[in-house]
Amino acid sequence: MKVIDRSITAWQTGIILFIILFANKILILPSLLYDGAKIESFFIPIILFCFDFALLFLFYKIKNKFPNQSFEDIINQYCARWVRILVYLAFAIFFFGKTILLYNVTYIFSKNMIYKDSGNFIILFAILPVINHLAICGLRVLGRTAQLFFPVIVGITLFSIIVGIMGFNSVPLFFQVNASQFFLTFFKHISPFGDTIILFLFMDKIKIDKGQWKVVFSLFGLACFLVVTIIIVFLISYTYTSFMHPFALFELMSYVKEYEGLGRIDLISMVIIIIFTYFHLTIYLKAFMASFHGIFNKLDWIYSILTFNLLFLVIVNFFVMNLEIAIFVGENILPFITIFPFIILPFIIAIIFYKHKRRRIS
Amino acid sequence: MKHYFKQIIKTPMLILFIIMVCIFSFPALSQVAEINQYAIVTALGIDTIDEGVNKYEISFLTFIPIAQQGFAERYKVVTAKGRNVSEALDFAGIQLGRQVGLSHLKMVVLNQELLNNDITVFLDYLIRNEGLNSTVKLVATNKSAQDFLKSAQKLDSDSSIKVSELVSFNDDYIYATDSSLESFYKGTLGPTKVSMIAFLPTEEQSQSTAAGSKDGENGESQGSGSGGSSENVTEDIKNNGDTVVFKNGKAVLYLNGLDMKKINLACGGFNTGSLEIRNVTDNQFENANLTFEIFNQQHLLQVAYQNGIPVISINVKLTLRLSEVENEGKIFQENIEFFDLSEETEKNIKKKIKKVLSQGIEIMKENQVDIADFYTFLNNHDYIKFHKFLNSLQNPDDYINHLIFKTSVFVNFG
Repeated sequence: MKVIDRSITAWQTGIILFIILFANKILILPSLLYDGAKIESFFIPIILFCFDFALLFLFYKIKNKFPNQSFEDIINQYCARWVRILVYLAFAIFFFGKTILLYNVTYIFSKNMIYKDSGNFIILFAILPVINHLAICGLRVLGRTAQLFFPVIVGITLFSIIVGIMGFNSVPLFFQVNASQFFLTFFKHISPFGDTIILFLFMDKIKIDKGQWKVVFSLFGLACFLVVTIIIVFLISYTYTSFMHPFALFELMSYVKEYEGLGRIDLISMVIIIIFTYFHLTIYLKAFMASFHGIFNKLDWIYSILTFNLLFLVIVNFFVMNLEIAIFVGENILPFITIFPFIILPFIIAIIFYKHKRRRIS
Repeated sequence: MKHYFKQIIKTPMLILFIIMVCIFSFPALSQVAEINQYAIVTALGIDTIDEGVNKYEISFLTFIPIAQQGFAERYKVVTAKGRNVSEALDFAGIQLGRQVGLSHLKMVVLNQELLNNDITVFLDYLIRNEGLNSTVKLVATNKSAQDFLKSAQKLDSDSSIKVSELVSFNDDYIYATDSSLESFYKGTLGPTKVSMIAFLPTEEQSQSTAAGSKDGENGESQGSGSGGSSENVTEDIKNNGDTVVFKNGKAVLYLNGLDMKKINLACGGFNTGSLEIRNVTDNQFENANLTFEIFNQQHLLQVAYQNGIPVISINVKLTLRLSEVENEGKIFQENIEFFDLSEETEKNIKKKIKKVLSQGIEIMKENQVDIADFYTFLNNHDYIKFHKFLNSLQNPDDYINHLIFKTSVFVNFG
């Protein structure tokens, strides 16, 4: 089986990055953040997006230095084989963990808000073939499809935020948490972030012309701004009752006084959540495939897809319909898995890169 | 044709699409229509009873889908008892032969008798229900919730005004408050623990009807009389802006629309309403009663600490428009288009508004209910000073009685 990952342009890269930055952040995260760090919790995504920005900047530097090489080649060039396997194993577990969390939250959202009678089988049947097909078709097809949906995604997201602002009717209470509570919440919810790592996995496929980097940086900035705005609008709209509302983007649309006049506008946010889910799962599958290929680089692509599907089907059955387990895993296990690929590894790479540059200058 | 099939075989996604259509479409054809599977509940009432093991009586207003040529909608009130809300709803579902669907629920009604207890206990089932919308209205009534829904049934069936709409725009008016489940919980879970809901009493109304006419299609009216006409006594739901104030989930204060006006003048947040100034005498009016419509309002709170005690300045800026004049013996044309109030009259109006504002603050102080949420304002303004002030109090819960208020009123006449 052959997966043809043709190169993608700056716009496609930016749009894929834009879409993936919403993953795991627009449904249950704002409610959990408020639970842990009250209204000040909106600083958490801002700080974590700064880490993501640092990652993007690192990627920009490395890409400029090695324009045609893959991340795998770069690691092979400077490190031992086991290092490459360790790094890619960390990536594979990181992205797989995120996939499970994302599917679980979206499944519960679909079951509670869209179709009460839907079983796991129906949702899997509707999702798995599509994401597998899109992943097999290659990166360029994914990029082009994302490009097609991009205006719809931006339009609906902006509309949701504007409608959400209409629901403001209370003043939040500040200064309710101490530093330890804040940083504990910060650590617990680190796993939904760090999606910029995906760029490293497709490094050789990304072709960015001179002067086009601003597109990638702008789309990254726009996505961060929108995600932070959704979280802030949600926190201000719901404050003390945030724990009763686990699906932030959807809840923004459902809490307006003029609801009856506007009709069921929350259906619009349902549409965008479903579109996001398809793209997020596909991008995570692609990331898993690339990570798997980094570990077993002599194996055919089909094995990475089969492994993903098999693991997904087995593990999802333990998680589905149990938001408590998913939240427990997301808050207590995934952060430890996230720390290495998101914080430690980029930090090491940055130090090596900096030292290498200084040595070359001297 | 052969070429066509070859093309399909070459396209696996097309095969998958056909399989999906077959799997999902055919079973869907054999499914029962959702309208026959679920009872669409639009309003739900909770009463408590003491009948053996049963503690709760749940009544709900359910929409009856029926083919008809007119625009009238048909509703039915269903009542069931159980040991808890879930059980009572299950029994109600059995009665109807449908599952009770609460996704379209727009109003929850509580019997006045429940309000002395912590009402969050009765609402627990509802807040755990994911399908419930945040905009569901929560109201209390003077009689049983079942009787209220019977009155609501007539209103919903006979007119385009739905019972849930009666309180939809409550908080636009100076006399009333927002009454949703969401705002109730926000207040209860907030720092002041104070929340408010609308109180909608049902009042008896007598109507004369011609003999022979149907005695109310829905059968809840009590007819009496003889001869050519009969007197029907019906229960009507009244929204006079009456409000129940809760602290820690329990009712602590009942306010009528005029008391709410005093409090809302201190809180702000309303859009419209009217203010009446009595016995105005100047070059234009002679012992007249003037009513002004509130056109615009702005509230500005400021705080300064004096000896560690917060002094709150409430600055109210109102734009008023003369909407009604009661001035016997004067020709109304003189002051209908152009009117000019004397300085003294303006002063009197400001004085009157200030007095109403102070009365609103007094109500809050007397009952120890921080309806205006001064707590959040003071906490956000200067956390350290405010908490130092709270710690200096013997009873920090009674902080509102130790606050000093200064009021100032600016009036523009538009």
